[in-house]
Amino acid sequence: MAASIFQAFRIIFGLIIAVFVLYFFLTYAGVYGETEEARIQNSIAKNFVATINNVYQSGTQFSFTQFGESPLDFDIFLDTEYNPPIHWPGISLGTTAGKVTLTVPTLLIPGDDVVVYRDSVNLGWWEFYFVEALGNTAVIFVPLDDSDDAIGLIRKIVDSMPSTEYVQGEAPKVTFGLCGGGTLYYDDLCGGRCEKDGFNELLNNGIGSVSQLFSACTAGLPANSRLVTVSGSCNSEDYSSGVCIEMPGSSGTAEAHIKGSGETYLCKNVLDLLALITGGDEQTVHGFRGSNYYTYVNDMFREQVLIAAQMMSGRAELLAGTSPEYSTFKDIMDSIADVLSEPDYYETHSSVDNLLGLFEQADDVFYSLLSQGLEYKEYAKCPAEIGL
Amino acid sequence: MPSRNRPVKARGAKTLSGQANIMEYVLMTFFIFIIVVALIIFLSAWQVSQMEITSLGSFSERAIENLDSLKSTMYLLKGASMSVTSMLDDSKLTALMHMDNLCDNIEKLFGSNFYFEVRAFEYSESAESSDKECTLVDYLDCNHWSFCRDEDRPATSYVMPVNIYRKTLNDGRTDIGMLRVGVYGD
Repeated sequence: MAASIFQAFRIIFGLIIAVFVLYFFLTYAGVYGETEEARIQNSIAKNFVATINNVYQSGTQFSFTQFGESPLDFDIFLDTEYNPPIHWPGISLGTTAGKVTLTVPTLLIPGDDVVVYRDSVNLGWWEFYFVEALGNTAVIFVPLDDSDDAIGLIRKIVDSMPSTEYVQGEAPKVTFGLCGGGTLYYDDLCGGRCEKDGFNELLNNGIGSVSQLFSACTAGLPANSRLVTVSGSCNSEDYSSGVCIEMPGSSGTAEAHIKGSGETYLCKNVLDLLALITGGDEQTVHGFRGSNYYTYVNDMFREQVLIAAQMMSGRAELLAGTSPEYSTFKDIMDSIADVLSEPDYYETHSSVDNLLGLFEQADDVFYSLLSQGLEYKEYAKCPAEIGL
Repeated sequence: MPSRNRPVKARGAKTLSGQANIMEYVLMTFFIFIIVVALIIFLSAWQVSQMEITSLGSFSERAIENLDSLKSTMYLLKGASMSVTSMLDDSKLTALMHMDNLCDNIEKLFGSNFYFEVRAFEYSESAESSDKECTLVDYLDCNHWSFCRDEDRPATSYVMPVNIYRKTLNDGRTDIGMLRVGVYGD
C-alpha cells in the first residue's frame, strides 16, 4: 500500500516538476525568441539609418537589400510625429523594440529593397541636401500640354531621382512612363521600361510624337506607381489620382494638389515636388502621406536654412573688412532669417515669393564675391537653381 | 510480545523508507528549484550585462557618428557644399560659436547631449599661451573653438585630425588641428 502511494506521489511529483521545468524553458525560449527577433529588426533598422547617413554624407548611391533578405515580417511604420531629440517631424522605422528615427531629410517609399540616393537644393551660398530611399517605383507623367515649360518641369523631377539603369541584379528600379487618355506608355517606351537616362533621352527627342498624350489619364496603372499630372491649371477632372502640378509662375513658385486633399501646396523647389510625388495620395492615420512629407521637408528646410542664414550673417560680419559686399550679404542673410523665422511661411504665396527673391539676391552677391576670389569657387555650384 | 512487535517494526521500517524516499524527492525538487532559479539569475544577469555593453557601445557609436557628421557638415566646412570633407572654415567656426541659442541650434542639427571642440595646433609664433579661445572681437590670432562643452559632466570622446582654413586671416593659410566630439554619459 505504502509503495503504491509512494509511486503515485512520485508520478504526481515528477509531473509537477516536469511541467514546471518545461514551462520555464518554453517561456524563456519564447521571450528569448521575441528578443532576438526585436534585436534583428532593430539591427536592420539601424543599418538602414547608417546607410542613409552614409549616402547623405558621401553622395554615393547605394542599394539597401536587408529588408528583403530578412526572413522576419519587417514592417516599416512611417509617421511624421514630433521625435525628440530631433526638433522637427521625423520619419521613423517602427520595430517591436521601438522606433529608429531618420535624422537627415529623407523621402521614403518602402519596399523589400530600396535604392538610396542623395540630391540637393542648390542655393549658391548654401546647399540643402536630402536623401531619397525608394523601393520599386514607377513615376507616370501626364503632361496636359506640350510646352517647353511643362517638359522642363518633368525633366527637373526626373533629374532629381536616382538612375537605376546600371545597377545589377534584383536591385530596386525607378522607372518612368507617360499616360494620356486610356493609353499607358510604360512597358515598351524605351524598348523596354524607361529608367532615368532613357527617359531623359526621350524628353530630349521630344514627346510630341507620342500619340494620345495631353489628356487626363484614365488607364490602369502599374504596381507601385505615382501619377504626376502637369497642367496649366489643375481641375479635379484632370487627374484621377496622385498629384497635379501647375506650371510655375514668374517667381518660380508652383502650386500643386493631391487628389482628394483639397489643399493647395506651394512648391518653391524640386524637393517640395518630390515630397508630394513620393508621398502621393496614400492616406495614413496622420492624413495624406504626400501632405505629411511636404510639411516634413519644409520644416527641415526651414530649420536648417534658418540656422545657416544666421551663421552666414555672423560670418559676413566677421569678413566685412575684406569687402563691402559682405555687409550687403549680411543684410540679405538677416532678411532670409526673418522670413524663415515664421514657421508657416511656406503656406503663403507672398512669403515664398519674397524668400525666392532674397535667395536670388544672395546668389548674386555670393557670385560677385566668388568672382573677386573672396569665396571658394572650387566648392560652389554656380549659378544656383532657385525656384522651379 | 516480540511476535506482536515484529509487524510493527516492519511497518515502521517501510514507513521510514517511504519517508526517506519522499525526502529524497523533496530534496531533489529543492535542488532542481535552486538550479532553475540560478539559471534565471544567470541568464538575467547575462542579459543585463549585454545591455550595459550595448549601452557603453552606443556612447562610442554616437560619438563616432557625430564625428562623421561634423567633418562633413556645411556648417563647419570650407565652401558651400559637402564636396570636400575635413577642411573646416575658421570664419564659420567663430560665427557659429557666437550664435544666439547655440546649444539649441546644435541640438537641432546633430542631436542632444554632446559637445565638440576644434583646436588648431600652432596658431601664432608670438602667442604666449598655446590655447586661445576665438571670440567675435579677437578671431584672428586664436586657435580654439568650443561648442556646448560642460567640463563638469563626464563624457566619452573621440578625436580626429582636421584642416582648418584660416579664412579670417585672408592669406590662404591652412592649419592642422583636431576635432573632438564627446557624448555626455551621465
